[in-house]
Amino acid sequence: MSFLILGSAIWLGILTAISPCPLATNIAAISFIGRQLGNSRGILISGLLYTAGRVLAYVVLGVGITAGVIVSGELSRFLQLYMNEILGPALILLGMILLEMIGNGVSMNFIRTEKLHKHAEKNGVVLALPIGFVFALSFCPVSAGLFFGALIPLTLNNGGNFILPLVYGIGTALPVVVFSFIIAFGGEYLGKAFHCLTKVELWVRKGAGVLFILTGIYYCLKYIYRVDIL
Amino acid sequence: MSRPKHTQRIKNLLLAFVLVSIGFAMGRHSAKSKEAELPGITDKSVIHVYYLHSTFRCTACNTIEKMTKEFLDGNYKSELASGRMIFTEIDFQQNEPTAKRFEVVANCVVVAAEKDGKTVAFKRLDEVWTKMKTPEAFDKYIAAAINAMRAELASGGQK
Repeated sequence: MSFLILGSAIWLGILTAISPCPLATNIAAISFIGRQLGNSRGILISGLLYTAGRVLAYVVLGVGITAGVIVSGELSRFLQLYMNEILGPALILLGMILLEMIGNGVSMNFIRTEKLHKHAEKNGVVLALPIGFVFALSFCPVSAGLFFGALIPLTLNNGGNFILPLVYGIGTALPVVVFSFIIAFGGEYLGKAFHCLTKVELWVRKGAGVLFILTGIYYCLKYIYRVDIL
Repeated sequence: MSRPKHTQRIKNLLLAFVLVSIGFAMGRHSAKSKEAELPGITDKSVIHVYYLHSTFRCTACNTIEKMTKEFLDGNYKSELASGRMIFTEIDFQQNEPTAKRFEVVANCVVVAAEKDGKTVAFKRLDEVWTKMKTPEAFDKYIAAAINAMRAELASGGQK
């Protein structure tokens, strides 16, 4: 497989990520990964897990379609019709978890609060993997066109293995991960410069939850109630 | 004191919105979908150019449709006027038979050769997404499909 083919796959991925169509989920992903100001390790792991989630989704679909196990048209139409509808309520609930509005039912007196908090943070990082997976599966017209209409034929013409969907997945995550790093380190720098890192940290964390809820409401209005917005 | 109350209210509102949305989505899917009538059924040989799109249109989707229409209007004016060529846009998410007939995977242009109202051959143009950046290549891509379908009709649609 030539570098030109690999370059085309990664370019298709980047093209998917930078198009306005998946902008709402990309903003939510950026805020989720970049919310851990001052925790470079956490950002790095979140970024890698988010990429792995996306890659996993595209590799499973790509291999399934090229092996003839999945029918491309049926699956594409199913995902385009249902995934965006599922995504709206799921994003609102996830935002509420991030804002600790729900999911604190296990908090009992005999569990030390800071231990619980650390556990939640650890799990928060791990959430990046399913978020990447689900965001990748919620196809909008551009991502469906580029994945099913351009990448799958390219994969079929080049041996039909998992490499091109994998490279494409990395391409779709790349701009999101880069922006997350810029925002996280930029926020940290600002916080340090103005001696208000704790405040900035708190707002960035809360901002991620609020953005998830807003994105969820946007998806509900657009895909469930079919309100013609943006 | 008022802050937790305020948060509780927002929490309840959001949960109610989530539940209503899930119910609304389920209700709509359980309703029997009507089969849309296929437009452009004629009793002669025609080149039928379809623009198939999802219910929600993105900027790029609208551009593809506009580029297709402009190319047809500029190059096949007499065919369009005489009815030997038809352009139709269809929401493939609302029209499952058409989506299945053309094995649609995403928004795309389909050029079909139709005889007596039946599709005798078609070419699905998925590469419009990558060719839209270069209008010349885009136009050539559509023209090649139209020529191929003309050849199909000329050969009597025997495929």
